[in-house]
Amino acid sequence: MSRFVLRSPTRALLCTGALTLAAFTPRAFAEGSVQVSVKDHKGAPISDAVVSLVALDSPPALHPPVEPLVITQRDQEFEPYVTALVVGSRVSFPNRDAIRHQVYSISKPKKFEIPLYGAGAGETITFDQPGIVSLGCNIHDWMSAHIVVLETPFFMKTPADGLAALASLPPGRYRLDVWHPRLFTDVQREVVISATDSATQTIAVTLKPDRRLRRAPDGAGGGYK
Amino acid sequence: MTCHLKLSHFFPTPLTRARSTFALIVATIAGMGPVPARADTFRLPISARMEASTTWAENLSRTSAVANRVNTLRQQTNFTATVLTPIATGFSLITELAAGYELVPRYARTNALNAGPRALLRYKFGLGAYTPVLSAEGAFIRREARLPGDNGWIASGALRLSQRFTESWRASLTGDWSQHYAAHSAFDVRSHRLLGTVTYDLNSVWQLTYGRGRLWGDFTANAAGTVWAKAVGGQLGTAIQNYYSSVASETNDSYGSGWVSYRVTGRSDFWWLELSPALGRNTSLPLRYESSTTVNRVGIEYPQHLWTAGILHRF
Repeated sequence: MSRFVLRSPTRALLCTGALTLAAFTPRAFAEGSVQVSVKDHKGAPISDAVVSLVALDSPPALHPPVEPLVITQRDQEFEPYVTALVVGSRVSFPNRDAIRHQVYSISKPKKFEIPLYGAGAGETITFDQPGIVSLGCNIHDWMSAHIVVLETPFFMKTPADGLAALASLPPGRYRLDVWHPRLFTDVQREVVISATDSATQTIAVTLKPDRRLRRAPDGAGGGYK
Repeated sequence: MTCHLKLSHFFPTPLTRARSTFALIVATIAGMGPVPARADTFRLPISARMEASTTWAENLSRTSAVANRVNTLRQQTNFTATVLTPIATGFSLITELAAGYELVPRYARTNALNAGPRALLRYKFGLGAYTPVLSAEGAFIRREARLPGDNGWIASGALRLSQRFTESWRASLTGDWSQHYAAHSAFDVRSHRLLGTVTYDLNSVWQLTYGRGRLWGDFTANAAGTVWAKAVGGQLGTAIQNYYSSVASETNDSYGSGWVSYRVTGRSDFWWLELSPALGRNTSLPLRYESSTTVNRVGIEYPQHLWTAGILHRF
């Protein structure tokens, strides 16, 4: 997937549809914050977009969580569909279904396979390289999920309202990244976080059609019987 | 399992033996189904699938004489319980217990129950949805029909190669073999088929499937008594007389008084087109048109056209 940096409003408009820099509002604390609103070209909020800020001046130390994150298999789907985590984080894949699953990834940042297993706790995998890791189940082809492995502690996945609020940001220059499974192309923009200001960024993106594999059962077919 | 109760009214009274067999199978499946246990997350690794369909069949009787062809409705219900077991890397064994009932309301003598086990060994050549899959399957099905001669065991085997090419396109190629060890020789048929399918998912809801294939081997056809008498009496030609006099046949009133079932050898070319909207994540509504042209050894044709609407649910 090609990556590019938005350096001018014109380019931003061309690549993301629309970009609005809202008014900066003074804040009462020393650390900065930013609120990012991710919308589609019709203005509808977009969930499951991963918004992250990568410090360009002095990258902070990364501290992966001690406890593993959890991606569950329930009703033959992965939950959640999108997971964002910091490099070095661990993820467990418990199976909450009655039937067995075989979780795998063939993505470059992390290739792995958890052999077919039934209900209960699954294997725990460490994600030690940044990038996008797509998950699947080798038994149920429609099952899919994505893990966004980040080299920054400043990130958030947008909920249903499409808003990601990132706080406690040391002042300085950052690269703002937005990723979504259906994004035509990654969105990047440079932002400056002030100790006294809070910025709101509205990012409009164009999404590809949802082409996840169909799950509904196939018919028995025809043919002379 | 509610399906047990609902299916019970499909059985006409003479099918006592079939009913008890089916009840036994349903009870077995019910016993294998998800059960509450001490740990609330524990359930047996069984999935299930149920299919019900109604077909308008033109020439369901597989009759050559145009005037006597039976056009009628046929209803089918199938229930399958499946267990998936890993064997080795890439290999899985899928064992199934299936039961299905065919109901022809206007011609109840042709109703039948099929039930039995099926095993499928599947090999996936790697990881991912786009990896080719080779599967070999075998089934041994008990058939309990209202026509006594049609009772018996059906053994079948199949080899299938399938491949997904894009999110939308996939295809499969199947070769299979089937042998019906029937009670009477008119139904004692053996055949093999070669068929291919191409499936296109228009989007996450609508799916279109086209299939085409050919069958070689035996099949059972039916004729009105008067037509059969002409055929074996030589009024339809010497070739037909010689051939029909040599094949297995029986008068069993299958589609009316005096109707005859007979076994002939030939081939059948068939194709179908299926549009299947998804009604949810586990339910679809296949709408299918099938056409087949069957020709026996002496050139007699038995065309059939079937329009089917069904509902499929995976539990």
